[in-house]
Amino acid sequence: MFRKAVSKMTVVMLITVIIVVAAIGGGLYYYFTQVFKPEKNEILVGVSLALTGTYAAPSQRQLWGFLMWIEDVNAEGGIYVKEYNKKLPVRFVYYDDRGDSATAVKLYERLITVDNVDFLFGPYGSGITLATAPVAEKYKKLMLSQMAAADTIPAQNYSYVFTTLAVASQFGLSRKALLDYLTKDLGYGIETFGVVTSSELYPLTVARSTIKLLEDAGYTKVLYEEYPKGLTDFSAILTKAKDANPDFLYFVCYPADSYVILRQLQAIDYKPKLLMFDDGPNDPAFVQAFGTVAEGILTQMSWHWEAPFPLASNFTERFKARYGEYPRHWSALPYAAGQVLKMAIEKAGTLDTEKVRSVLLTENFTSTIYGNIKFGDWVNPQGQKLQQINLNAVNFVLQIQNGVLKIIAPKQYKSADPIFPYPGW
Amino acid sequence: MDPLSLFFQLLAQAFLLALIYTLMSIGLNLVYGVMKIVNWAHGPVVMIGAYISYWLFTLYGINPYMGCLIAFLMCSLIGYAIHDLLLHPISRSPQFGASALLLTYGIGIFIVNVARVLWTDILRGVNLDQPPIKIGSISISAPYFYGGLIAVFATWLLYYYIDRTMLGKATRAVSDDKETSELLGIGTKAISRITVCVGMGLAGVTGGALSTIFAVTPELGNVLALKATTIVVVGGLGSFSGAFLGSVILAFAEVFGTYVSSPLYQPLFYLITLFVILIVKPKGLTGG
Repeated sequence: MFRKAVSKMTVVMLITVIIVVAAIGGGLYYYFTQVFKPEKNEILVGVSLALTGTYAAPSQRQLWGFLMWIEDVNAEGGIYVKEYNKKLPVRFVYYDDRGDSATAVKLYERLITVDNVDFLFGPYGSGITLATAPVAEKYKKLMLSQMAAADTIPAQNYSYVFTTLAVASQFGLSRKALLDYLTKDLGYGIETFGVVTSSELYPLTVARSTIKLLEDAGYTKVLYEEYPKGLTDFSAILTKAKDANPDFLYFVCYPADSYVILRQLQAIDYKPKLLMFDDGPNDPAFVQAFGTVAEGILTQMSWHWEAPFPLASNFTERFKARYGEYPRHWSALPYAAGQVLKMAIEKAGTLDTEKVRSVLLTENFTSTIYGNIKFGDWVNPQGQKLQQINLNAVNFVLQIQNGVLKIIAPKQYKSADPIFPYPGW
Repeated sequence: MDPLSLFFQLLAQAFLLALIYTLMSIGLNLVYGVMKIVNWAHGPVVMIGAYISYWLFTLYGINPYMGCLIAFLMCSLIGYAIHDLLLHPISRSPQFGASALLLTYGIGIFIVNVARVLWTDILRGVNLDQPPIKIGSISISAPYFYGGLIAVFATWLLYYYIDRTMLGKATRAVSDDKETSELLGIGTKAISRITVCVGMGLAGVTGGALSTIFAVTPELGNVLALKATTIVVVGGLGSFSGAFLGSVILAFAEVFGTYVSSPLYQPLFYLITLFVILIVKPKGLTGG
């Protein structure tokens, strides 16, 4: 009975129909995706941010930077793409990875395969960027990384990942610029330095590149200490530092460490001539917590509202009006990355990844709010080759003067003369 | 600095650190003594105490050392809630120790995240602008010095309470033998409630004292709580003199160990100390 119901003829017919339908479907798909390019109405850019969790505060500010860029671009009608002979508005797709690498990896997969974004921005932080960069690489999507300062990422030889902010090993350049400025231009005679660093990867990179650059420049290292994460008492290290008495005492530390260190420096009554903490004093709360003792302390930021970059002050004013605080590198660098992307697309005249990539590799992107951005390869002081980083990226040395942060080095960017020596308490 | 004054300088620093550690660990120890649980919410409540003290200072200009008192009361209330709502309902469970460990750990995570939502991760600090205290050639940090005084005072009060008052006697009885105490008519629920309140209150005081030393952040208590737990184990669970002894040993191992070698070995010093003590005296220095 059943043998009769499905005759050979029917089977042949069915297979033929399936083949024909598949062939027509495939042909149409090919036609619509490859030959006939569907009308493109917008440019999709995607990013995963750590909007909740440990990195919520900085990553929220990262989002603000992107939102301001999107708004500015779309206010002009979008980005002109020659291929379509019109301006395309930018649509911004973002998700919350909660600061979790595994989640971020899934979200980038989603951005590429489901949302079909044209370009990617990097997430918040080196760890998450390190985890997600291979996704961009796998799908050959451009990723502009703006919040990952670890050397590890550009050292991976990724072809589609470009880093716009100063990486850790570039930080040492401005420490050297500071000492050169104080010694050679102002004649303050800095000869010795001491470095105390957290033993985590990122601070170690900053510390080691700084030491290499300073020693090569003829400064003498008289103290070097590494300390483990979670150290609560620094008195013994600081007593050692007092004994060694370097002219420039530099802590490559996490924000909370700087509070304990400064209190304990006060306790043993030791005032180095130059005192620098990588993180801590660059937050307004530091001045509130230390008052006049904070005066003259050095710190760093990879962007500053007084930097002599085009449109930086304009950006700052609008940002302040909108969010009620000074923009930090968390917001400015995403904005600058957006500016680079816009210029690259306009120059390439297409949204094609390879063509935009070759523009990124060759072009000098002038007049971003982070100065001139030029991507290229650089061998860091440890001898590691870093690929597609921003060769002009600067990390400013700042000083607290009258309770606010002023740029004092590198000298071509300075917004105030340095206070020397550290007045202390 | 000549070797002798250097030695005394380090000695003073180690001793003050020991006092701060003592303050951290007595509350933890008290709760262990009576409830037989390691209270992982201790660290996060220290952090709450620090915020209370910080806000009282920032908003109303109240001296953080006075703020400690208010932190004591408010954190006691937190302790009351934790005890009555969460700990007591599971106290009859046969695996009370393990359940309470997980429970307090969870409470701790909850408190830290509430603090994150309320106050964000911004670092805050109390600015008292106190000059260092100089005794001869050694100089002592004022916040540590006052923190140390608070530690001495709080420990003395607690000792007085446990050793000299009726309530303290009842607490000791419950600590020794809960079931017999119950048979003798001691309200064990009330005693454990008061104990958790006092323990958490002491965490609040610790926070108040620490707010002048460390940056106040939601993470403040976590690192310190781990150290306090180590101290309590080294000293002998449930023993006050043990908590002090444990603090002294760890603080001295840290300060002198760091000076003669590198801070990188600091965790090594205190873990080796922990191992050696536990091998020699498995119940801690003062454990029976």
